[in-house]
Amino acid sequence: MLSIKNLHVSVDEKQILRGLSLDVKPGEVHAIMGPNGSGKSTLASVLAGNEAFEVTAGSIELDGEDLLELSPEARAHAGLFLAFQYPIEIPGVSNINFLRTAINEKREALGQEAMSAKDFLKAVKEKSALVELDNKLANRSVNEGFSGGEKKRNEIFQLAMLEPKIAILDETDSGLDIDALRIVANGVNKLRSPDRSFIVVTHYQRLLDYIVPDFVHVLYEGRIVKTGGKDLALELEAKGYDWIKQEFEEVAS
Amino acid sequence: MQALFDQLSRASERNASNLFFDSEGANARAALGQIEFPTSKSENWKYTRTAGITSKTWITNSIIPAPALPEIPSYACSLVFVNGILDRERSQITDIQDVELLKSSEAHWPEWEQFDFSERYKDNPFLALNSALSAEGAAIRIGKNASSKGQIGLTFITSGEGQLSAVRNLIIADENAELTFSIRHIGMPTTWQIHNTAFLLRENAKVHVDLAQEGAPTAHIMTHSEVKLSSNTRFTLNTATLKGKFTRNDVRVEVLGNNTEANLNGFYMPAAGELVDNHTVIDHVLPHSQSNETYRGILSGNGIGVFNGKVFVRQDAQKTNAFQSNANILLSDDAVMNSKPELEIYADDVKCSHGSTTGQLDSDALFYLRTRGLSFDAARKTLVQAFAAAVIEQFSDSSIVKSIDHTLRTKLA
Repeated sequence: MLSIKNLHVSVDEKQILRGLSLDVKPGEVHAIMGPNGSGKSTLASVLAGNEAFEVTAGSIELDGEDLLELSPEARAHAGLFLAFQYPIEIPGVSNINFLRTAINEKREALGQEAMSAKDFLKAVKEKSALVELDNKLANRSVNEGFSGGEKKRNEIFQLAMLEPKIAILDETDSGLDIDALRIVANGVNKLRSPDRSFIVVTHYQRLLDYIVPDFVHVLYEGRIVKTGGKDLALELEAKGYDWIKQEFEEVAS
Repeated sequence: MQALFDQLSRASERNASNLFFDSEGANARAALGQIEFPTSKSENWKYTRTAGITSKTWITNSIIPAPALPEIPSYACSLVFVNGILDRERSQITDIQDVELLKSSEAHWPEWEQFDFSERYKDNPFLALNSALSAEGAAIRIGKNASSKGQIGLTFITSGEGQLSAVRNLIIADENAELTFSIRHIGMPTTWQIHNTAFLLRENAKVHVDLAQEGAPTAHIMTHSEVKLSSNTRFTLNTATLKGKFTRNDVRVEVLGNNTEANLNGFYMPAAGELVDNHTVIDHVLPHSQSNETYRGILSGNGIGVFNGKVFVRQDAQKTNAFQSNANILLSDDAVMNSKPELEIYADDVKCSHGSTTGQLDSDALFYLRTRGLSFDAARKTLVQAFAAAVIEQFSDSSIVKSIDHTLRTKLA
């Protein structure tokens, strides 16, 4: 489904990703972990099409289509979704109205008919319940005055509404207390399906207790240096990253 | 300015002695000889050049066979002035209880005398020209305890190559009266209109005005609004400048009572070849009053915007609460915004705040919306509309709101 090959990315001439490769098949959940500055959030931003990052080599394909050729909106239409680490507050833009525009632009791009108001409202009701998002929040300006937890729930609500093929969760657990974490994770789990994949970028193993991954990758110095099952996350939690760094330095030298 | 006036008098079909504002007009005509047109050195006109207007040849207040005019939204009572003259065919004149609605020339009201514009001529020479040329306008008086909302519309159209129309209006709200009405300025190609509107609010009166200005790419619109507030009054002026080569609006509010509220809001979107200049003065003379100013602009092409907001808080005006904000979005590299808040505070127990921001659309917000599937254009439109909404929602006239939305969409296309 998603195939990343030898990805090199720099920002302001500083090389951040240095040959990252990753294959994600339908229905799989991949966790990306790694120490600060290893390039986790860069990977998320590049996948979504943030133009501040320059891809200097490598490729990203989604179902055989060259993602790097596509604008952020075309990527969304192709079925990619990014849940932001820091969701943007947009005063004056109603959460619901912009989502409706987003859904219908996607449908138009896919040659589908616009969603009826009735179906849309039904979906809003269903999907906001999924993450226990207050209906009032759904109707407010995008993220304006939302608490940290509400912002993250709103991201997952949008994910649910847009029904992507692949969703990237960029540190969705950051800033969440344990209750909010559980709510968000439960929402994500309900959205798992055989044809929807997730890339879960996180610092901490805690989130992976709730969203159980099929694979755990360790990102260090801009590439994936270790891959394992869900147990790898527990090992990292217990031992930290130093042993991985050491292994990496040994291989490098 | 004498030369322009002489040229106008020769070209005009109307004789100077027909003018209603006899003594003021005579004084203004006499003053014209001493007054120079503004230059870039004139503080009040620093960013707004008028030489392109004053060097042209104009004819004034003349009845010409008007070409097809734009459709005018209907009001219960609608006065339409074409080239400064009441057009009875296009107007819809109905009686509204407790409201006197007259041509200025027929409103022999003593209140005209309460407004002396001669002291403003120096800062705004075009006021002198207005006084010298004005023959007509609208006079509205809403009587004690009466209320009229959304019933009255005033439309001023200037039409015909080289037409200059000068208009004098007087709006009086008597004690405890409430008036909400709308004004439209429509400038057809190669025209110039100069408006001077005086507002007098007696105690406990409330006046709300929605003003829309729409000029052709070669049309010039100048307005001066002079507002006198008595105690416990509320005045709101919402100005939407939609189109036009040159628009200059001066508003001056004098707080002459306690517990007043003055709200000045403006929305403007100068595109290529357009200039919009808003100059406001709020003069807090007496205590316990509040003023709120929100002006927002969206500039594109090589559009030019000017905002100058002056707030005086005089020594006696304790407990004044004055808020001012001017925010602008530049959609192109060539657009220019000149924004200047000016606060002069002589009282010590007051709350005054002002803010001025000019920048591009928030690129993070644009990216966020695009990752959800909005095209670049749709995302841009969404953000611009959200930015504008804060001012647009102040308007109560839905036909003006519709015009704003329509222009916004066209200018963003």
